[in-house]
Amino acid sequence: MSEHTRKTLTFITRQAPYGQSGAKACLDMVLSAAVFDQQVHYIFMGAGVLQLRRGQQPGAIHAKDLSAAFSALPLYDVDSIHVEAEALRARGMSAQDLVIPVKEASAADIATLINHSDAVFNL
Amino acid sequence: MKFTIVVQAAPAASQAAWSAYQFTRTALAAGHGIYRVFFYGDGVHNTNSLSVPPQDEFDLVSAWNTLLGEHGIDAISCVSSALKRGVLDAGEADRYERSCANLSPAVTLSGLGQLVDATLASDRVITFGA
Amino acid sequence: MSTPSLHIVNKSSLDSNALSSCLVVATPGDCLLLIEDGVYSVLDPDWLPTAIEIYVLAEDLQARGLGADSVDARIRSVDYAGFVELACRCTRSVSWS
Repeated sequence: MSEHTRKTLTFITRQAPYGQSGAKACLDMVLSAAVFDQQVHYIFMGAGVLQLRRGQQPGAIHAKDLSAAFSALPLYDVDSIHVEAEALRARGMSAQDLVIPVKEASAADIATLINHSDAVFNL
Repeated sequence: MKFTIVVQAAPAASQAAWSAYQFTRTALAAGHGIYRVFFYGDGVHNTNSLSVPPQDEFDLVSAWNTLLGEHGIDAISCVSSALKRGVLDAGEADRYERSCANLSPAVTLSGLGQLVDATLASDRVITFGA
Repeated sequence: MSTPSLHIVNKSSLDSNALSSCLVVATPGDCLLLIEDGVYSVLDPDWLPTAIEIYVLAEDLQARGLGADSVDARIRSVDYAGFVELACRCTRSVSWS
C-alpha cells in the first residue's frame, strides 16, 4: 500500500435500507475508508435517513440489522455523521427516532462538507 | 490527470456500465492515465466472462476485458461483491468448490481497501451507476 | 480558492429525485452534467438554476431522439471528450442516481 497524504472522503447515502442494497454498500465503503485513517464524512440524505430509524427488526425478512452496525462507527473513529434535517422532517421524524446521535445538517451544511472533500461517493 | 473509475452497475441492467466504459476510453484517448478501474456491487457483472450477450448487441464484458488488458490498467472486482454474485477466480472457485472460475482475465479480485487506495492515489474519482 | 464540483445526474427530473437532491446541495460555480436518462430533464422546463453551468451529453440526447431544439439555450451540449474535460476542470465529481 503506497503512502499518501490524508484526504477527506465524503460518503452520501440516499437509499432506504433493505429494499435495495445501497445502504450496506455505502457503510462498507465508509468503514474501509476509516480503517485507512482518512477523514470521513458520512451523510444521510433523503430516504437514507431511514437507515438510522430505531426499532428495525430485519430478522422478519432474514436480513442483517443495518442499524446495529451504526453503533460501531465510533470504534472506527467515524464521528462526522450528518443527517439531512429536511429529510427527517419530511418523514415526520426527529433525532429521537434515530439509533445513534447525529448532527442535523441543512442543505448549506452538506454543500460545505462536499466542497471541502477530495472525493465524494453518493450511493 | 490520473483517474479512478468506479463501476457499480451491471452491463445488462442499465446504461451506466457503458457510460463508464466510454468515459474510460475517451480519457485514455485524450492522454490521461487510469490508475484503477474498480468494479463494486453489481458492477462485478462486467467482469463475468461467462456472459453471452446476443450476437447483435455490444459485448461490454469482452470490451472491458480488451480495453483493460491492452492498456495494462489495474482492474479490480470487489471480492465480497463478486463472491455474492457468482464471479469467481480460480482460487475462490477452488475454495468454495464451485464448478468453474469465470472472472475476466484482465481483472483481479481484491477488497475495498483497493478502492480507498485508488481514491488517495488519483487526481479524480468518477463513479458510474450507484 | 474555487474548487467546483461536477455533478453528474443520470436520471430524469421527471422520474426521480436525483436532480432535485443534487440542486439542493450544489454550489454556485459548480457544473452539472446530464447523462443517460438524465438528458430527459431538458424536457422539463421548471428546474434550471442560474448560478450553475449546465451541460448535457450529446450522444445520450441523440440516442433518445432529443434534438438541439429540445434543449434550452442555457444548457450546453458536450460529447465524451467534453465530459472528460469537465471532470478535469472540476475539483471533484458527485454522481447522482
